[in-house]
Amino acid sequence: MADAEEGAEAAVSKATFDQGLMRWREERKVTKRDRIGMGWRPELAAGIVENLDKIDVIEVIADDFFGARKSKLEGLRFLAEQAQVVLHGVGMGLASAALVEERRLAQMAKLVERVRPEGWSEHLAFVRGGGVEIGHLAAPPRTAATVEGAARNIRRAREVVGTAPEVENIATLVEPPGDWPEWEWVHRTIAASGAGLLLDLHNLYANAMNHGYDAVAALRAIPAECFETIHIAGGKLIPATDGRDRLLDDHLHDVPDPVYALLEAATSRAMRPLTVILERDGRYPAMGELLEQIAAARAAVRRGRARAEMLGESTSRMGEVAA
Amino acid sequence: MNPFELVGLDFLIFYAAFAAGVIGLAVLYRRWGEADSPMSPPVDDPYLIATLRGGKEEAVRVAVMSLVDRGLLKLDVGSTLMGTSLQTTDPEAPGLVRRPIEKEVLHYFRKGEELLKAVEELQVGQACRDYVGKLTGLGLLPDEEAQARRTRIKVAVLTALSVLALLRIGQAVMNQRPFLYLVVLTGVSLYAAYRLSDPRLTAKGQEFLDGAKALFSGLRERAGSLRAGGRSSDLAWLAGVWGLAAVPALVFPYRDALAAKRAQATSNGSSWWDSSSSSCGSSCGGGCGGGCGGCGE
Repeated sequence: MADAEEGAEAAVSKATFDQGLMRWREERKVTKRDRIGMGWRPELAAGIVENLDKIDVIEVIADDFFGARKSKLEGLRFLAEQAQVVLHGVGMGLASAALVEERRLAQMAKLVERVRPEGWSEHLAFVRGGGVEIGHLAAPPRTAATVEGAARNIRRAREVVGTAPEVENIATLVEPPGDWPEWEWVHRTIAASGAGLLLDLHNLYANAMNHGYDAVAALRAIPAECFETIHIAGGKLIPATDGRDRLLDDHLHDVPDPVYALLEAATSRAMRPLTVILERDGRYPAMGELLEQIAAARAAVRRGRARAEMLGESTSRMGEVAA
Repeated sequence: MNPFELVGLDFLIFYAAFAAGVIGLAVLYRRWGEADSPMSPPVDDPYLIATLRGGKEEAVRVAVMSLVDRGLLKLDVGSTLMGTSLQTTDPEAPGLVRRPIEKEVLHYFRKGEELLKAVEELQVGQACRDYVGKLTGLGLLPDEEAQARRTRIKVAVLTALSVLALLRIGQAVMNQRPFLYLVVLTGVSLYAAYRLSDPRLTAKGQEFLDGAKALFSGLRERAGSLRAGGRSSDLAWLAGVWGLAAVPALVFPYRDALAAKRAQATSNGSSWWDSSSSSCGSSCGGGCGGGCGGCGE
């Protein structure tokens, strides 16, 4: 009897804790303004912590902290208590007909529990097959099987981690086989899984450029309610054997102007406050240059909001005239 | 089991195990009392972390190094008997920096001063006192209450170890048995207990410092690629978190001059060391051997 009561008490206590944690997460997620931030890279640590007044949010690569020693996790926790932190996974391989590895989900859950970020995200990519790690984010075949597999993996991730990830569209130099174009496949996956979209504008731009479609039109086709978290980055053109250059999303170069234009366009339609993250993975320039890119992104978001306001005003005036 | 019935090596093993157990419990008890603090320490100031890691003196040295790199302080190595002197390059320089310790350092060197004297005097300045106050308030350095608790733990452990050893030595004397090894073991145990029950940082302070080091490990790994000339805050963070020794001397050749302590600066036989050692004692308490390192709090 006493054991049963203790068990019930423990269950209530666990449930209360979980509810508190979820409420805390929701509270942290509620933000009333657009935010511009950047990815945490150890090489940029000093510059980032010195400029937290200009960096609204920090995105941390979660995989770097899986199985890390206590001091490393504590360092991240201290950072998360000081700044808004989101976690970004790179190794789960959610977009696969194969089951996501439980070990990785458990590691993400542990990290989320420890750091209490605002949220977490992963790529709509596959990264391993038949036990072989392929070493990069690959586009899966765009078929019903991968939609189903990705949705199942995302639902499982939500169960284990406690919150669903936002899922990111990836860049691919080679069009994978399949039944649908990229964005239809993405929409289907999101609809089937209930996950949010992490829209990588440079990936969208690179894919449009490499596979011959219009990036602006592709952006326009994305439902406005999907715009919440956005990645911006830079890349470089590389020669291909067919004589056409391809845009490689290497994160080693500055954000190009068309990506800022896409950001402005996305913001003009966004129905919620945006979180924009600048990604840079190497060939680091002076921190001042990265801050300039953050400022440029902020300006693009501001222009987008202003455009939305103007459109809103003209729409309401049209309504008045019509009335 | 009556430990006093044990003889020779058996008793020594028992005593070593007893000492390890008592010291271990004391450390756990101390850490348990110091780990919990509601306030979260900020990771936004390299001088705060330098103060935590190495004391007020370290914060001053890191600030001086950063200001020299940024061209706001001019360094003249070997210009005085004590070694190095510095002077502010621009009278308006204090207005160009944002951290109070940097303003204080620049203000201090307006007319040119010797580094070692400056390090001593700036340690008692407002900026350093504020850092120590902040660290204490955040629970990273022991406050009076924590210190009193540590003292109680230390007294209890030292008493337990001493009483057991003295009883056994008394027994050995009465039985005309040797006890030299026990004296040595007791000495080692008492020293370990003394050090482990009263470290400079609290458990939370050590945790924070370890966390900061982990957070800035990338900076240390690429220390060799840092460039001189104040282009970023990397130098201040590298020296603040990891110490001046982590700064590459090839890129920042004045590193050793700024890190020099009194004994090094006067190694040529100057009598200055003796004449001014009293000021060191007054500012740091009793632990000044080798140049006041780490006794800033």
